Parts: sequence; structure tokens; C-alpha cells
Amino acid sequence: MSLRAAFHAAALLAAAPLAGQACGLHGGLDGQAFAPLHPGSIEVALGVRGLVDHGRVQPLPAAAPPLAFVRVQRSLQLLKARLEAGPPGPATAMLLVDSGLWARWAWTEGRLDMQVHVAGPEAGDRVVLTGEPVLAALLAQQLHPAQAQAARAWVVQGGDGAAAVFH
Amino acid sequence: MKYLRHLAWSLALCPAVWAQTPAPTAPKPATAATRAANAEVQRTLPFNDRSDFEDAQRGFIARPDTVTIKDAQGKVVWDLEQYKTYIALDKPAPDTVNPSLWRNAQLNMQHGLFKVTDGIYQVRGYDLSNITFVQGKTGWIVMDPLISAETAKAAHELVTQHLGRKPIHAVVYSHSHVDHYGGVRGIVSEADVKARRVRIFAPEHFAQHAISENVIAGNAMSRRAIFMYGAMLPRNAQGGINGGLGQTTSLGAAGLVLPTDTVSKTGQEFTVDGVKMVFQMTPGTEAPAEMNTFFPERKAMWMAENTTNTMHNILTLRGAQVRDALKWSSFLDETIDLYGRNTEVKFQAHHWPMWGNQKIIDYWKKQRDLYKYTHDQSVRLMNQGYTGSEISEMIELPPELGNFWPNRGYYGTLRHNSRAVYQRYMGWYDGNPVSLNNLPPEPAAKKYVEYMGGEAAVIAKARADFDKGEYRWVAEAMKHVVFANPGNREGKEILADALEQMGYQAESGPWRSVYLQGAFELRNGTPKAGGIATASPDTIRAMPPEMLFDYFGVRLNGPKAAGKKIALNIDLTDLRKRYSLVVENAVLNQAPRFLPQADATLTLTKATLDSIQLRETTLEQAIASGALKVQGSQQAFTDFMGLLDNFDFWFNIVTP
Repeated sequence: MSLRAAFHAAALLAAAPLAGQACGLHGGLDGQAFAPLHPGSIEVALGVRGLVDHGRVQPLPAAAPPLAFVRVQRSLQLLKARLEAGPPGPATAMLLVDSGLWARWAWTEGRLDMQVHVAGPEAGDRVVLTGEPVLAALLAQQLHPAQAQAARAWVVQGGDGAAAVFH
Repeated sequence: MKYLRHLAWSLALCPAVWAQTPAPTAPKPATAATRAANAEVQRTLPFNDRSDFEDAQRGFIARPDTVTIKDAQGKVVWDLEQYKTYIALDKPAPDTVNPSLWRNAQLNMQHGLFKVTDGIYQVRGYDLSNITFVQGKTGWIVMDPLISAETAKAAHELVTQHLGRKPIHAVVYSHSHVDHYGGVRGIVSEADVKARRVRIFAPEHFAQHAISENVIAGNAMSRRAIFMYGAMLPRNAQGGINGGLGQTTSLGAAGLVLPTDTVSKTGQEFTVDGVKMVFQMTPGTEAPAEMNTFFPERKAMWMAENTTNTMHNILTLRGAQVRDALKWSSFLDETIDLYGRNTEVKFQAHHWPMWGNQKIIDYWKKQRDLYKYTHDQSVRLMNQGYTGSEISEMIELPPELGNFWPNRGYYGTLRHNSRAVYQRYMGWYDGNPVSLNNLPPEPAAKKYVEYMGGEAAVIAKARADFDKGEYRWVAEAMKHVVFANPGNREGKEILADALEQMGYQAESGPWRSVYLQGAFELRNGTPKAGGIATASPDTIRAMPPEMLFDYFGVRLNGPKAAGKKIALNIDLTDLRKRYSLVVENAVLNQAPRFLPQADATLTLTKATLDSIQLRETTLEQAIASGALKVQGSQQAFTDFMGLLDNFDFWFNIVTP
């Protein structure tokens, strides 16, 4: 479930009663399971896994949900700092395909705002698809943006390549 | 992925993220025509017969002051208190409710712990269904443990509080519908079942049907179930009253612990904790796998759901395969033949029991003949050349069946059951060549409205007919206006008004819900979220891979798959089973073996497959974590996934 879907489902399920499961109806199979989180996200997941399998990036250790979230936030804060050091760019939404987490940043009057947990990209946004270990490796400069892009572990939709983010 | 759920729930608690939705349009009062129709029901049915009320309260032991059951997170999963605010024995039927349905709701609201006979107790009103406790030498045998673990647990606690703490030695699932097994984890542990400390009895093929009945068409059925069960309707006299079988369904955790003992033959006997049970198999009646249970020492007959205190469905409005009314009738005849002489009390998984041999035999005969009459007379009229819609209008029960309260149509109705009989034999085509290749609703509606002089002319006439109380026709005509032009607000309002009055007049709980949900969606639009029930984790985990692959087959977008050929091998390592999936000729075929030259091989566990289906994890996370390995052509794999359609739950029904 993408963060967006999880968020909306959780909010609205809390607000509305569930359908009845009366005699004979057990509830069908979820007709949206196995759907990609975003167009191209499966390819990127395969790319991320390929880099891990080839030892180009280190897999991140499994962590309890709150700790995993803190870790993602830390990476995104580092990314924000990196972005602030460079020139302003277009509004961008980033999907970490392995967690389904969307983050979005945009420049307003020379100031960079970054939001985590957004529902997804807004109209006109540049979209970046990647995975958390790839982001971590890029931030640690253990992986070159071009390598991530060549492995399809970093895909930019509606804009330039990895260099557009990692100046 | 669990952390995503955690995050999602955290966000759900944040007021800033709540969607601001406009308050729904308020329902309207009953019209003079509806008041008159409901008064006629009050005048013609035998409301003076109060024996059902005596039976519904007989053997009362205890009930708590309030029945509001919550899950571990504090979410309410069952609440009778809302109903208590407007349904009570001393409250007359509001003019927005059919008095017969109101009576049924009053009866269903008789809740608590009851003694059925020596050693047999029921908790009623804790879910849609009843849970029954049969006392053995040292403990309990439980019949049909409700839908949710939470409600079953609460019912068990009520029993323990008043009858003492005793171990549960066995559970009997009467049939393969979730309201008869879903709460099992609330009363027994899977470990105790595996260790054979608790036995679970079920009819032959129970698991297969419990798992499979709603798989292939589940999305469409579930959406239509929103209409049938009225789960989203407000709880008041202009909203939900009664589901026909019980008030409504609980919303807790439904599970499935597979049976340890299969019953396959009528007359098969088991003795557990000193209690002898004799089973009558009734497959293909109300459920594909179902059985009654006779307790000879107590002269007590458990009727599962084969007889309840209503006319049941030959075809449910949410959509299902048509049931066999003739077979149903025949099994009830067998019940009378085999167990009639020795039965002094009959009880079942919904509604209240009945006592007295003569009374029970009379009841069984009338239930038997209800289905027999429905079948035979529908077929008689069919053989005279009438179609389903005509038969539905013509058929009437004779007074001896029709005025018998337990035969009233609170769940099924004669109107739709007779159409179901027609459907079972003749299918959708009524034999008129005009119906063979008729226009679908939207283009037909445009032409109808054009021929009828345009939208304004239709609306003017519909308003006049509405004032005369001709709601069925108004609905029929206004459907065309709405399907010709869904933007016609006035058209939708009149249609909604007509459906609403039909709901207020309906004797059947599901009919009322269907009409009122239709009115709601016309006034407020199709809901966007909430209300979705999907198969439980236990059900998914018990589902064989072949069934999931069949489901992939119906998700395959045929036009998109045209001209493509993709072959995938799938290695489910924990099951040690290998499969192949092949897309060719725009269909998906599966085989229980590897292909020598597949485009790609997927290696994963069935547990991972289940986890993705349950959306505990995503496909991407499974790939990135290495839980799903793709060898060979990654492009073939992504192409395959791209051919699967997503099913939107909230498709339109009352609008195009």
C-alpha cells in the first residue's frame, strides 16, 4: 500500500463503518494488491535490488517502524541540506519504493520547503523514484548518481537525471 | 510495511488531514402514500399473534445494561446502543418503516444470554448471528462462533459470568459463511486446535467454500453488499433498521481456524465430552457446505441456517450463484422425516428458537413448502411463457404460507426469489428477441428521453406520478433521465425521493437498505472511500496459490494483453511447489509445473505472496528486500504486472 493509499484508507475507514459481511459474503480479494505504487516503481525496485545484490549499495538493516521512520527522516534531512546548498530547482516529489513513502520539496522565494508523508506528487512536479539504501548511498557519496541512474535504481520522471538533485 | 500502517494511523489521528466532506443531504419524511401503504400492512398482517415475542424472550438469563463491544484499539465493532435509541418493544413502528420489518427488528433486539433447553444456551444480539453453547460433562461445545473474535469473546464472557468457567472442547461450524466461523479466535486458540485439545467440526468441503465463494467476483459483490446491508446508512428510523437475519454485522477481526473433523454423511455421529451429536448434511441449500445437528439426548435440533424465522434468499442481492430452492425444500423434508418425531426444540444461527413438537413440525413444513412453492409456482408460470419480471409480479404465497410470520420476507423476498428460480433455469435472456441484443442503459436512456419529449417533460410527468404514489414507475422513468444526463440534478432528486419511499415501504431489510443507499448516492454522489471489506488474513493464507492465480486471470486486461506472450515460472519455496503463468491469446493460463523456456522466474514464499495480497507489504518492498527474486527478463515481469487491472471498489451503480 502506498503511503497515500494507506493514509486515505486509514482516515476514511476510521470515519465510515465497514461493509457487512453477512451470510455468504466474506469480502473479496483486494483488487488493487500487486499494483505498482507509481508507474515505473517496480522497475526501480528491481534496480535497487540489483545494486544490493551486486554489492554496490549496502542493504539497510530491518528496523521497527518508528526507528525506520526516524532513519528515513534523517536521510531526507541530509538531502534537504544538500539541496539547500545548490541552486533552486523545480518542485519535486520523491517516492522511496521500498517503503512507499512520498516526500516533496519546493522552492518558495528562495526558501526550500520539504514535506514528508505527502500523498504523492502534485500536478507539474518532477518525480524521483528510488529506494532508501540508494538514497543513503548517494548521500554518503558511496554511489555516483550516474551509477544509480544506469542501474534504474534512480529514475527521474519529468526532468533531468540524478545530477539534477545531486549537484 | 507495518511501519507504513503505523504512520498511516498516526496521520489519521491528525485533525489537519481529515477530509472536509459536506454533510449528507437529509432524508425526507414518509409521504401520504407510504403512510397508507404501511398502515395497510399493519391492518392485514396478524400482529395479534405474539408467540414470537414470547419465544424470543423465553429462557432469558441475563443481559448487560449496554452492549458496546470494542477491539483492542478501542474501536467499536458492535453496538446495540444506537439501535436501542429508536427500536424498542414499546415503540410503535415509525411511518418511515414497514411495520412488519419493525416487528422483526423488535424481535431481533431481544438480546442477551438465554437458556434454550437443559444444557443448551444461546447468546443473541451480539452479532448478526447467534452463538450457542452446549454443555458437556466438563465443558462446552460451541456452535457457530459469530463473525468477529471480539463479539465471540464477549459472548463467551457473558456465558462464563453467569454459567461458570468451563473449557471449550469443540466448535461446530454449521456452514461456510463467515458469520458462522469468523469469531473462532475469540474463544479458542489455534494451538489448542492443533494439539487436538479443541476439535472443530465442519461439513465436507467447508474450507474450500469458505475460502473460495467470494474470490472471483468479490469486488463487485462487495460493492453491491454496501447496498444490500446498508452498513453506511444512519442508525435512525429513516435509515438502517434491521438486516433481516439480525440487526447488522460486527466489524471486528474475522478469522478462520481450519476444521479438525469433517462431517460427510447424514446420520454420522460424534460424541464429545459426553454430548452426542447427529449430523444431517444439507449441501447446496443456503450454503454450498452446510449441515444441521441433532442432539438426541436433549431432543434439540440445530438448524444451522436452513430454517430461520424469515424467508431466506434463493439469490442474494449482492450477487451470487442461484441457490436450489427445490433441494432446499427436499432437505427440510428429510429433517422432518429423520428428526421430526424426536424434536422438542429447534434453534438456529439466527433469530430465536421454537419449542413444542407439533409447532416445530408445522413450522418446518411451512418453511419447506415456502421454498417448494416458490420453486414450483415460478416454474409453472415459466412453462406458461411468463418471464422473470412477470412471474415476480404474479406470484403470491397462499395465506397459510404467506401469513405465517417466519415465512415473511425480511431477508429474501418472494419477488426476487421467484426471479432467481427463473434465472436458475432460464438465465438472463427472457426469450424475447428484443432483449437479445438490446442497447445498454446510457444510449437507451438517451433515446427514451428523446422519445418521451425531453428531460423536462419526463420530470413533469414523474412529479405528477410521484404525488400519486407511483414510486416504482417514477423510479423506472427517472432512471432513464439520470442515465441520459447524470448532470440533471432535479432528475436525480426525484429518483432519490422515489427510491426512498420504496425503502420506507419495504418489508425486507436488504430491500430497504438497497433503496435507501441508492437514494443516498443519488443525493450525495458515490462514496469515495470507507466501507470496504476484504477477505481476512486467515482466508488469504488458507487460499491455494491456484486460486490467487485465477484471480490474476480475471484482473488481466484482455485488450491490453492482445498480441502479447509472456511466460513466467513461479517457485513458491515454502510450499515446494512450482507453477507457470502464461499470457497468450489475451488470457492467463496457469499450470502446476515450470516451463522449460520461461521469460522469467519468480522465487518467493507463499507467505510473501499472501503478504502482498493482504497489502502488508508492496510488490516493490518484496523485490527491494529480496523476498521476491526475479531472474531472467525483468521486462517480462514488469510487462506482466502492467497487464493487471486494478478494481475500483466505488464504481457507480445508480448513475452511469
